[in-house]
Amino acid sequence: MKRSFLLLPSMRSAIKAEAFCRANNIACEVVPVPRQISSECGMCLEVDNGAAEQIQRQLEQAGMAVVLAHAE
Amino acid sequence: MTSRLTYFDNSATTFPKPAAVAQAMTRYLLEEGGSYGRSSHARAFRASAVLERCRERLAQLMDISQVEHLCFTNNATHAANVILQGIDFASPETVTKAEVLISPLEHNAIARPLAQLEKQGLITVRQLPAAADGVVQPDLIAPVLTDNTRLVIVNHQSNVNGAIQPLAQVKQAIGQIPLLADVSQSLGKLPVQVDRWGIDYLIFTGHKGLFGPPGTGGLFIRQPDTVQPLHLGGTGSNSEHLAMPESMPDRFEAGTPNMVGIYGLLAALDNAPEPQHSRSDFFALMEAIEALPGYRIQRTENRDAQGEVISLLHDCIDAATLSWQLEKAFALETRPGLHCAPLAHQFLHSFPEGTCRLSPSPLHTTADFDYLITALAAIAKESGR
Repeated sequence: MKRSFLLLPSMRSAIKAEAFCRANNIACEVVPVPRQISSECGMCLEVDNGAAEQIQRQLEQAGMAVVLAHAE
Repeated sequence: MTSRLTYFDNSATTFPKPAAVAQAMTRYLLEEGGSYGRSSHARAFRASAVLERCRERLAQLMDISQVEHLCFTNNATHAANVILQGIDFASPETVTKAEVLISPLEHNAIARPLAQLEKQGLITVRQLPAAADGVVQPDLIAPVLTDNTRLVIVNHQSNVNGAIQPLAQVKQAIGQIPLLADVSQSLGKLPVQVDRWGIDYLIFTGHKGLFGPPGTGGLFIRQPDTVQPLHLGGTGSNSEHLAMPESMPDRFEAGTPNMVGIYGLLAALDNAPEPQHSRSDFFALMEAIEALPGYRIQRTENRDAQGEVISLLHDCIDAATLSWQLEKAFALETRPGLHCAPLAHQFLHSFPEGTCRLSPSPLHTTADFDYLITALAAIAKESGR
């Protein structure tokens, strides 16, 4: 099953993004960055597949640099 | 019965701290735990969010809109070293040696790293024009600037005579030349407006006017690419690359941060003590001391530039003896000597003996001030003056 992840450049930006989602009633979960995407040891946000691009745009409009990635 | 507060060494570190500081630190150690950005479990995320909340609060306090450009360090000295050792003073476009202009009242946190750079032949250090009390005179700065002036450094509030420097006017006078402000003594006591004043680099500590624990502090860098990171290591981000991340704040935050200290600092920011004396009470204290026989205070010429620090001299009692007598006979804790600021004492003509420094806390009441005056009067009397 395809899963959607929003990758952020730092811990600070991950916290800001999670807070933004919470404040805007956007469902997300903080999860480790999947190994298929990166060997990065940090956190990312898993979001609903159907809404991922929309959430990415919202975060970018709020001034955050976000990369959308998918994994099975 | 109210207890008397006899600790007058708050420029070294404020004491006592709010109980909430100790409680938050204990809570971190015993209940919450977690490391910043190092794992993906909820505990680490919650701890990381606390650190970010502390960063936000500090940025708000200091009028910093680029919040991510505010990085945590162990203290202001650490922050000063990151900046001063990270700036490329020997960049190719500099044909002749770079000049750094400093106020006459700089602390060794600045003076020693600069002395090292000077010894390495990388910079020349010159003094900004200033009045006899060490307050920089912005109107006189323009003529001393040269094409080689690469940095101006000003200690916002002196830890020796309390002189408050006109940072905004200094920045206006130096234009595009970067300004490094040391707000170690002023933060928490005076307004600090980084964006409004155009400060380019800033260093601060958490354990003085903010009432946080020792081991906390930080820096602000407006243009991060002007400074190479001093410390390299793990950030919890971009771990697949051996180069430090370019993104802020990670660029300057290698290694596990002082989480217990930052929990305490956030609690301190949320629980700043209510001042128990007014500014006019402080000036009344100064005047009462000056009215005693034999005492002289290194005060500023302009009352508006006087911060709440009293650097005290006596005609026939040296500073160390005075400080010792205050503690021995009256349990009053003060700090004699050079206060890690030999340049300031040289400028104020109190080098090498130094002064006896009385640095009040907002927690001091006028009754505490009265007790201090009584003690100083008794010591003066004993000395035969």
